[in-house]
Amino acid sequence: MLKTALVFSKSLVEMVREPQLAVLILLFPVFMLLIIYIGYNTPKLATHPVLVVGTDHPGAAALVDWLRAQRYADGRPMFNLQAAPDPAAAETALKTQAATVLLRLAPSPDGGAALQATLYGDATSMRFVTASTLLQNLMVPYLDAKAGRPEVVKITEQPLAVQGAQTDLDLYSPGMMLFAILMLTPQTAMLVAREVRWGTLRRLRLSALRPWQLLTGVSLAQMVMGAGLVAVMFGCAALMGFHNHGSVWLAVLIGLLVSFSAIGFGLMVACISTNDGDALNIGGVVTMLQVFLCGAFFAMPPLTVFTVGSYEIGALDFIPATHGLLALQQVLISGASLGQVGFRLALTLGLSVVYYCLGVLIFGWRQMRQRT
Amino acid sequence: MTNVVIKTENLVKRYGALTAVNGLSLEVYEGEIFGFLGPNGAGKTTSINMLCGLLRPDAGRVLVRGVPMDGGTAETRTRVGMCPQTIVLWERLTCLEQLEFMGQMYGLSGDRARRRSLKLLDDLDLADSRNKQARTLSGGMQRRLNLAMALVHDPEIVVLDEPEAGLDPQSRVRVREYLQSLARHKTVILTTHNMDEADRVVDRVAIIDHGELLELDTPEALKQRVGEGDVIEIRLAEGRHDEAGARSALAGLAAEVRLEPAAHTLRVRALNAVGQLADILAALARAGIQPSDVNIRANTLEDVFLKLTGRRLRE
Repeated sequence: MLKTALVFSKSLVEMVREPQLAVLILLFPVFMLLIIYIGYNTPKLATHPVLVVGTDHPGAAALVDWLRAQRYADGRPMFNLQAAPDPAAAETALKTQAATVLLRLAPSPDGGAALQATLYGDATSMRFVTASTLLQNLMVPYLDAKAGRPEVVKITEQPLAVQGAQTDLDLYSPGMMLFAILMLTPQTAMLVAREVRWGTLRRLRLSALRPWQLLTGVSLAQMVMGAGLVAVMFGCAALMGFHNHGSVWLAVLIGLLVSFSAIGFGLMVACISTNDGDALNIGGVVTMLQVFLCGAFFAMPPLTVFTVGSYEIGALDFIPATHGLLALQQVLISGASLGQVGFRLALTLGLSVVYYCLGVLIFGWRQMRQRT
Repeated sequence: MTNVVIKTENLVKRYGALTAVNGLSLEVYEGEIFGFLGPNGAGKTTSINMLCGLLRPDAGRVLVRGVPMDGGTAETRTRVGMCPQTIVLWERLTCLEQLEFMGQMYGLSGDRARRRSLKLLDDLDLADSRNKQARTLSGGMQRRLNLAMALVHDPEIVVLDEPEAGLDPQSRVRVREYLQSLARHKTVILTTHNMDEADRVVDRVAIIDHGELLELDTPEALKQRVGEGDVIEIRLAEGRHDEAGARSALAGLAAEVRLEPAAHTLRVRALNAVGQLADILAALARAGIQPSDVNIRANTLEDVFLKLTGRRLRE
């Protein structure tokens, strides 16, 4: 244990004295988070800016007032409705995203009392899609009721979570946190491969150091890094408006478990790398594969391999990050408790231990035994 | 110096079709400085890697104090301290940190590792740089720290692969003196290409080539036994010179006697000619040949080495 502690403390000192690497590894997922924040942060509970034309038609003013009165459950208004000064100014406002939707109200072509409503906007914009869907869902039953048409079906939305993801940032943040943790794979691989390139591994072998002592020391230092990554990602996400509904400590625990598996992958990558540059490149590829396959960016199909009883076991179930991500999402987005994510945590831990042990075994065999 | 510390028995190491070490058997005695000489690719580094336990021989074995290195205890391995040819340091640890770290890895207590480290830093003139990170040291300082790393756990046997490579003259002398001071209480095994270094430092030298041991003896004995021999240039008084007479007078004493008339010089070559100088001069006097000046170029270890391994360039 003493040797493990010595390697741990040496590795920490080296990491502290080489902050560029940690900063780089951290910056990439933070940058991705920022991209999501800037590009896809479509607020699901946003107050949508809507321009209105044709409020002078009969019934239009009442509709606008009614829409103006619509509130989310937390009391925020759904729309900020403003009269459009003129069609050209309205079009400019849409193009510059000062307004999300232009609502044009006109008398019905059949000459009846009903209003005809047309929604204009950028159909490729998620903001327009969200706002226009919300407007339709509200206006159609309203106008039907005004025209005396019976309500055919009443649709109510019930979120799966207690409160649910409120923004795309909320939805993607757990994946980005996981991404940051998985960046430990190339870093671990690079640090270990560097010991090989420097020849310091030979020096350590001469001291009769065992592979598990070396790798546990390195891994513990990397897990400290992993905990730091989770904390920094949390902080950044919170600054960008991430709404956390679960236990931060539980999330950190999940992060540590996933970092354990990322380190195991890193050790295996180190075994097949001839130098630290190779290790960074190969480790980067392994990380990206894990990130995509575990569903951090988008959900993957189950890819069932075999069935045990009534359980379908998919190829992606063998990736610890798959279960880690699900657990993290359930905790952060849905406020799940330890008991509710216990199964996923157990799978993450079990698989992480398997990959870690594989990494230690392969590394010991490839790099630390007496050469034949 | 008769206690055997390391013994190799018919060591063989092959890499595919290449036999890097072929039946190497030798004994290294307690307290001696033992040199491995050989051209590039002769099998020196492979041999010392097997001596340290880093490489497993295909056949034969290494015994440290009678205990086999391969399959032996960790303690057997830690009796050896190895200083590799390349600089092997953790760039971002300070001199003191890396020495303490390695000392503790070898099982020294924190206090003892610190004391040992500070002493080594002092011995190798690195005390002022003890808190500097290795990457900021000059090449010579890194080499000295590299040497200290092999010694921090106070091993009984120190194996040094080209310890003077890349050192400036001052550092070279410092390291050489330090190695000689070590030899009183440690066994030192070193490889080198530097014949001068070997001649000055080692007690016995093994010359190997193509993985085989060619000679093993003290440098002095080798110089007397192997090679072209010492050369004595005897300047003669101007006049007629009798080459045949000189050759006849030195028969049995010199391997070669050649007269260079233009230079009025008789060139005499013989193994251990320096030791026989008095006899040679007496024999010439008896033949009526009077020298006006005598120059001696002694047989060197390099001559021995080239005689044994040839002049063909390697690798």
